[in-house]
Amino acid sequence: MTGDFLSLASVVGLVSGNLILRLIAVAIVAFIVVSIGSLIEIYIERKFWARIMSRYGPTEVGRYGSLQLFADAIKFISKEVFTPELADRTIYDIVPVLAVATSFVVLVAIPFDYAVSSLFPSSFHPSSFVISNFDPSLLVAFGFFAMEPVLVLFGGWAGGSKYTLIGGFRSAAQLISYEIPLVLSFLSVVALTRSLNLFQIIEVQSASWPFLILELPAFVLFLIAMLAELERTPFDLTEADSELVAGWNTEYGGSKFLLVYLSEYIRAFAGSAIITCLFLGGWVGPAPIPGLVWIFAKTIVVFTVLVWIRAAYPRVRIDQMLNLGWKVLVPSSVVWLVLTPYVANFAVVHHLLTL
Amino acid sequence: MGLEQGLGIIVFFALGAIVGYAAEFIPRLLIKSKKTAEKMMPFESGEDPVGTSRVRFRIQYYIFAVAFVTFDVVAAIAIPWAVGWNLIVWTPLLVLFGSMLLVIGYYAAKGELEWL
Repeated sequence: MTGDFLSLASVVGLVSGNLILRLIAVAIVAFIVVSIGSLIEIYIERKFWARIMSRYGPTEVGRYGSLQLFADAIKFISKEVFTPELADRTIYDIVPVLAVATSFVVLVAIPFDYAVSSLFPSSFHPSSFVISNFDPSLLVAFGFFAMEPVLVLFGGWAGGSKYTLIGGFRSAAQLISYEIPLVLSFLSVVALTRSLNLFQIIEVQSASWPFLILELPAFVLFLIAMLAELERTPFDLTEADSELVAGWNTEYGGSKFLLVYLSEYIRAFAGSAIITCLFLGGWVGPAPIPGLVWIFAKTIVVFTVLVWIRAAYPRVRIDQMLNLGWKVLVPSSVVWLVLTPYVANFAVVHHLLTL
Repeated sequence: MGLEQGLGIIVFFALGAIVGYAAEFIPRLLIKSKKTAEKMMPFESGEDPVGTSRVRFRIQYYIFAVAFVTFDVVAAIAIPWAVGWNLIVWTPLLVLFGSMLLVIGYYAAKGELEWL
């Protein structure tokens, strides 16, 4: 038995025995998943968006412009790093790092680790590798999701330019206006399954209809609120490039801008994955294709829909956006949340939902 | 949520922070920075900046913030209701939701939610 000390089984045994090693392995796996996801997202964002607008998008670097992203990343990293004179140095330097770190923590709660570990049936038992199966995982995800407005406000203030400050204030007003409909509309899914665990929500969906159908109003409300939370185009007032240059990240350049950009796409990936888990059944799908492919493909499809919305709609004004948030989304999400128990009873009686 | 998840959050945060810090720190070692007056001044569409950028902000942001804090408490109280609505009395939550909608209606009628 000593001969195969470095075999796969012993490595797996070592990793599953030691808690910290196991957590680091899960974190690295999640990082690889989210990096691949972000690359695909940025490619879709540039190419699919360009094709909708009858442009070509990137074409020169690599086949169909597929290496453009790597060229951009190398360029960002090889640019000089500097802090503008009027910037608040400490906050200015720390905001991009914190933005990446807090957006990455959201992935703790999303069951990509289960989907990855179920690729290894016998030697790599799923339960030893899965950390996302814990009770208030939705709350943890949204807790770290809600860190962004603070960072945006800090970053906008620290940049020391008027554009960044206006972008930061707008972002704070926007994000706090859409936080409540976001919470109330995901709570109606929680009320249907009576669980705050994303894992259990997906397992309930695997035995009943997807919540996209049972909870269609909540899905629409959640999608709109999520678009605003991700600061994507109908609601991208914080970056409104025709008004504020680049909004709160105007003063960030080089590798700091790369980090800000990366954190935005990590957030977009995590948000699409949360929509997938809540409404589209997560890793559930017909059998021969593994669950990882399903959850990843569904996430990318949700993101593509977000890009499509971005291409199809113009930017709203800030008063229209706040009106939509306070006067439409909050009341309708409250009404739907109070109606959800009746929907749940109806669905259980008619075997649309198995608890 | 146990020790495992708590440590998991810390490990994820640490990995994100290490990657972020490395991406910010390594270029600083490799690339020499040349400071010029134009490069260090805040961007204002190519003009020389006028006045300070640390301007006072309008009171309206404060009103939105206060409304958010109040109603977020209502949303937080709705979380346990959503998990156990079949076990608990609905009246307190309905009263809270009703008063939240009333206050939003009052705000809207008074015109505080209009962006000037």
